[in-house]
Amino acid sequence: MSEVHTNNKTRADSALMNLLGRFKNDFWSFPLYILGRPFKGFDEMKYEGRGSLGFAIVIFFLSALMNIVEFVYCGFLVNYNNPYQINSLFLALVTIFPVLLFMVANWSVTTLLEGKGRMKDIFMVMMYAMFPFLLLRLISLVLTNVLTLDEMMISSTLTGIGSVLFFVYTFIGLVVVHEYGLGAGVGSILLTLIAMMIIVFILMLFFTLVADLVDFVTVFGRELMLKYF
Amino acid sequence: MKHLRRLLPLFLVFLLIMPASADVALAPGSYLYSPYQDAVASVPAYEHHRSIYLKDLRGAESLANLKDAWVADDRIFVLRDGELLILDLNFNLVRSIRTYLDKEGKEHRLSGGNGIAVCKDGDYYIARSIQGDILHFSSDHKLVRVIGRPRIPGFENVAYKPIKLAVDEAKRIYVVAQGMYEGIVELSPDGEFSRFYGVNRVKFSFAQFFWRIFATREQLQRQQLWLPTDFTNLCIDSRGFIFATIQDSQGEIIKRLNAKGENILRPIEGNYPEGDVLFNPSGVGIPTGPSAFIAVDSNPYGVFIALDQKRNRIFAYNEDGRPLYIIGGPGQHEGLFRNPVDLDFVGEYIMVLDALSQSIDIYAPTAYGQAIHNAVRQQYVFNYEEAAKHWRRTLDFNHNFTLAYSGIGRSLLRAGQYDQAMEYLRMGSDREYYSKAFEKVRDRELKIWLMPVLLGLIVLSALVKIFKWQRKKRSGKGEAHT
Repeated sequence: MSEVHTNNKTRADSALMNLLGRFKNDFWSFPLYILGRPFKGFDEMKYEGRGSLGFAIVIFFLSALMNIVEFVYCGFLVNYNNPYQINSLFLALVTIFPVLLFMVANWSVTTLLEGKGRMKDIFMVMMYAMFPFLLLRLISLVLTNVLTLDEMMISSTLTGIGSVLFFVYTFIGLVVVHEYGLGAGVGSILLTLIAMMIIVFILMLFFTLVADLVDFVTVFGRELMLKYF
Repeated sequence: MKHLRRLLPLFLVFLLIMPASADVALAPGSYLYSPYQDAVASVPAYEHHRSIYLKDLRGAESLANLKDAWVADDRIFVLRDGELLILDLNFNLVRSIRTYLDKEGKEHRLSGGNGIAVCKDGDYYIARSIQGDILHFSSDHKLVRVIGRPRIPGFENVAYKPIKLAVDEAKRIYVVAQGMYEGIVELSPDGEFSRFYGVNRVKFSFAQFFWRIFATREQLQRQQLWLPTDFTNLCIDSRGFIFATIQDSQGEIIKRLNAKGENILRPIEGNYPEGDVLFNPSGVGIPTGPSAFIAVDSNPYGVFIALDQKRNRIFAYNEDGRPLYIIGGPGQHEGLFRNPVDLDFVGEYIMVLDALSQSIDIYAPTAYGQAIHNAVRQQYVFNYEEAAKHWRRTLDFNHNFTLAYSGIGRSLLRAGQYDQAMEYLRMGSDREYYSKAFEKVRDRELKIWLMPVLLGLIVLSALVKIFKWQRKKRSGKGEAHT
C-alpha cells in the first residue's frame, strides 16, 4: 500500500519535473541555444519543431508590457515621462502594431518571392530575436534605478546592444526560414519595408473613408429625422 | 447647542472673509510652467505699482513714440522719437533734451532716436535708424561726435539702420542693425568696424534641403532667400556678457553671448528659455505661434527678464535659464500692457515702456517676488543655507514653485542630509543634483549591505550544493536498492 503511494508520488513528482524541464527548455535553454548558433537554431526551429509558439506569444506580450513598465518604473534620472499622461494601450501598441505589420508585410512579400517561411515562422523568428532585447531592456531598466547620471551610459549602451541584436537575429532568422541567400534576404527586407508603407497607407485611406461614410450616414439620418419626425 | 447654532452663521461668514485676508491676491493670468510643461496657476511675483503719464513729468513734451530706456547708476534715460527724458530713480523728471548743437554750433532736433546706451562714466550713445548714425553725448549732454556708417567690407550696398546698441566697459559699441544678417555689428571705441559678433546660423529642415536639390534655377530665384535671423535687442549683464534677443527663430530666441560670440546660456535641466511653451499654433484674431522677445534686461544677480511682444508678457529666468515668474499680458487694465516696447530693472522694480498707452509702468515685487529674488541672490553667491530660507518662504505662497524645491534640496545636499535632499531635488526636478545626492545615499547603503548580502549568497549557494549532493547520494542509494 505504502509502496503504491510512493510510486504515485514519484510519478507525480517526475511529471512535475518533466513539466519544469520542458518549461526550462522552452523558455531558457532553446532561446539561448538560438543565440549561440542562430543558423542551426532557427533551422531546427523550423524543421525539427523545436521551440514553441507559446514562448513566442509570451515574449510578444511581455515586450508590450515592457513598454508600460519602462514608462512608469524607469529611474527618475532618465525618466522625463509625465505619469499623468500615461496611455498604456498606446504604449503596448507601439510594440504590437509594428510587429504585426512587419509580419504581414514580410509574409506577403516572401510568398510572392518563393520564401519557404510560414506566418508562424516569421512571428517566432521575430520573438526569438526579441528575447535578448527584452532581457537587456529589463537589466537596463533595473540599472537606471541604481546608476548615477554619469554612469547612465552603461544602461543606454545595453539597450542599444539589445536593439542591434534584435535586428541581426531577425535578419538571420528570416534568411534561414525563407531559405534565402544574403542578397535575396536584404532584398526581401527592403521590399517588406515598402509593403509596410503601402499597408499603412491603405489603412489610413480605409479609416478616413470609413469616417466619411459614418459621417454621411449620421448626417443623412439627422436630416431624415428633421424632415419627417 | 443654542449657542452653537447662533455661532454657526458667524463662522460661515468668517469662512467667506478669510481668503480675502491673505496678503497676496491672485492677479488674473498668473501662471508658471511645471517641469512637465503644464501651465500651473501661480502667485503673482510682481504687481502694478504706478503708471507715469505725461502729467506726472513736468517739463516733458510728450510721451508718444517711446522707444528705449537705459537705467544707469543714478539716472533713468528714456528715449522717445524726438526727445530724451532723464529721470532720477524716483521717476521725477530731471532733464528733457529735445535738441542738440552740432560741431558748427547749429541746433538740430533730436529725432529718429531708436536705441540708447549709457556708459559707466555718464557718456551716452543714441542710435538713429533713419539717419543711420550714432550720436555720442558726453555726461554734460554735449555732442562729442557722430559715428556714421562704418566701413564694412562687402556690405557697401546694404542699408545701415542701427536700432539698438550697447556699450561695454572698454567702450566697444555693439550695434543691432536692421537687415544686417551677419550678426551684431561690433565697433571699436573710435567708431571703426571691428567684426560681426554672435552670428545666428541658418536653420533648415531636411525636407527643405531635399527640395532645394531638385529645384531649377528659376525656382530657386523665386524662393525666399535663406537668411540668418535678425537680432532685435541686446543688453550687457553685470558680468560683461551680452544678452541678445532674436527675432522669429526656432528654439533659441534669447542668447547670452561670450566674448567669442558663442551662446553660453545652456540650461542643464528643463527647456531652453523660450517664453510661452503652450500657445495657439493657429487662430483668427488671437496671437499665434511662439513668443517673440523684443527686449531683455538682467539684474546684478543673474535674473534676466525678457519681453514677449506677441502676448505682452514678461518672462523672468534665473542664471541657469529656469523660469522664475511670468507677469503681464495683453489688455487695458493696470498690470497689463497694450504695446510694450522696452523693459528694465530699476533696483527691484521693473519698468516697462508702453508705446500705445504712452506711459511708463512701474511694477513692484510682492512678498512672494521678493522672496524669489532674495533666494536667487543668495544662491548666486553660493550661500545655499540662506537661500533655502527664502525658498521655503516662496513655498509658503506657492507650493507649485518647482525651483524652490531644487534650491532647498541643494542646500540640504551641502548640509549632508542626503535622503531629504533627494526628496526635495526630485520634487524640484533637478536631476543633476539629485544624481549627486543619490550617489551618496547609494554608496552609504552599499557599505552597509554589500558584505552581508555577499556572505548570504555564498552561504546560500553552499547550502544548495550540499542539498543537491545529499539528494544525489540518497537517490544513488535508492537506485542501488532496486
